[in-house]
Amino acid sequence: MTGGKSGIGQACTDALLDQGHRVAVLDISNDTAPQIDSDTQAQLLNLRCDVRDRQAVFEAFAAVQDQWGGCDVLINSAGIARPGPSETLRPEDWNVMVDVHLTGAMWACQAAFPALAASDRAAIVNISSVAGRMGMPHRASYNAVKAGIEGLTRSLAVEWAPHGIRCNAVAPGYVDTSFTQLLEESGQLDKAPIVSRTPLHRFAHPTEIAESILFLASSAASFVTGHTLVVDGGLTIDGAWYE
Amino acid sequence: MNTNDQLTKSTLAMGSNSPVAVVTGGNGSIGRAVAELFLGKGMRVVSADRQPPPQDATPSGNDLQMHYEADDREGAQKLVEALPDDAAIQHLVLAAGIYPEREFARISEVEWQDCLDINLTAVYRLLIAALPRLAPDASIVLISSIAGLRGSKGHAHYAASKAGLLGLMRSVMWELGGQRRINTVSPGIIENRMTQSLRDGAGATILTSTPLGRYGTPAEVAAVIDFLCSPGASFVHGENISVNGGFYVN
Repeated sequence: MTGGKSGIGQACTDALLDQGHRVAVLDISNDTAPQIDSDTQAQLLNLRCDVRDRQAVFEAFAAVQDQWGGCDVLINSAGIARPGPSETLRPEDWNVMVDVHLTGAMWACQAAFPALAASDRAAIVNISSVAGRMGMPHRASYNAVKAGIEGLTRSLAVEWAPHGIRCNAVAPGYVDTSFTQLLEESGQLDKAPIVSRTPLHRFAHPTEIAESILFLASSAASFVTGHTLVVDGGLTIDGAWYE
Repeated sequence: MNTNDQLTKSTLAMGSNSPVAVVTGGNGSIGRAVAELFLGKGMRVVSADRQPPPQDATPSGNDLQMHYEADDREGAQKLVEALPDDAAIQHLVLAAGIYPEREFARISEVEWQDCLDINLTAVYRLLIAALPRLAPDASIVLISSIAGLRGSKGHAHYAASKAGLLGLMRSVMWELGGQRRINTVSPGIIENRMTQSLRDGAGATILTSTPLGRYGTPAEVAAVIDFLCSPGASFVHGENISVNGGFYVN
């Protein structure tokens, strides 16, 4: 899992560990030396990795291979945010968004390919967003990379199916995380209009996104590939658009 | 298995107080696979179908058979009224349907109406009848089709009915209230009797166009429906999951 140290990624890591899987977390916030977490009976391997660095990503997957001899599931959840008006968006902010979300996911898929192709239950789950399907002011780079993730997902689903690798994405709507709480406290996010546009009238809990990710990674989704599963409480349907 | 033609309140009340699932087309290939998954979880399952369960169905006291004709205007009401007064519907899976084949210019108005009536209007009737009986966190799953998303040459009435289900689902979702959810699955080409003629005629092309290189099984569609009904899908509402081995994206 890339980016498994906060929000949705952390919920996903916890859920995978709960189900008895071994999880390698490739995250930029990890320590430099690989850490096996003794609290989880050696089920959790923390690796420091900046997904923008292709060589570092390949080295991290080599470490997973050394540790456990393979990998069945790749979950690409590393992500950052650089919101701002498009007319003055700085090149470095645009580039870092593309590099982390889209290019980073591509390198992780490449690095994981040999292990996934050798697995008999291989699955990739990428994290898109409802932002990949809607227009949102001040989120041009985020919207663009998430739409890109869905294109990557469809392409790999077709290209790698003969290798027995399924590839899907989850597109979460608004989720209660420390990040969205911070945005709300700082006045950058107003929950009320979003909640009123969401048929389930609430934000998601991170575990609800994790459950969908785990479903797509599981054998229950064995004939599902190339799909982006929207987990948004109905937000993007917008069937009350005229109100 | 209760094989009475007509479900009565006393037969359903005799079971435990376990949650109730209603599956129309519950003896068809996908419906039966769904019913068996629910039965395996200890649910009481009302299998509403015009045909009896298959010979190899797993016997279960919780498998409550009801004769149901989707084109019977009173069928939905009769089904819901047969439930015990205190039984809320936890899962509602509407899998009854037909798959007629006809060149568009030759579809008669009667054939068009029959297809829309069974595949779409029957779903409307069941939703209307079931709404007051849904559990506060009930999950509804409708069965659309790849034909509803892409169209299907030689099946215009079928494709229209399946596309109609998507519009219905995306509109009803606003009126369910509580944490009730509705979603659809859109199977691709599944290996069952319904697709036999299609597979006989175009099987090679279909398999070439399916990245996973095979047909799906009813059990694989049922597993997705089961997920949509599970607590794990508690924020999935108004979604359509394609179960087609990548056919749609290729």
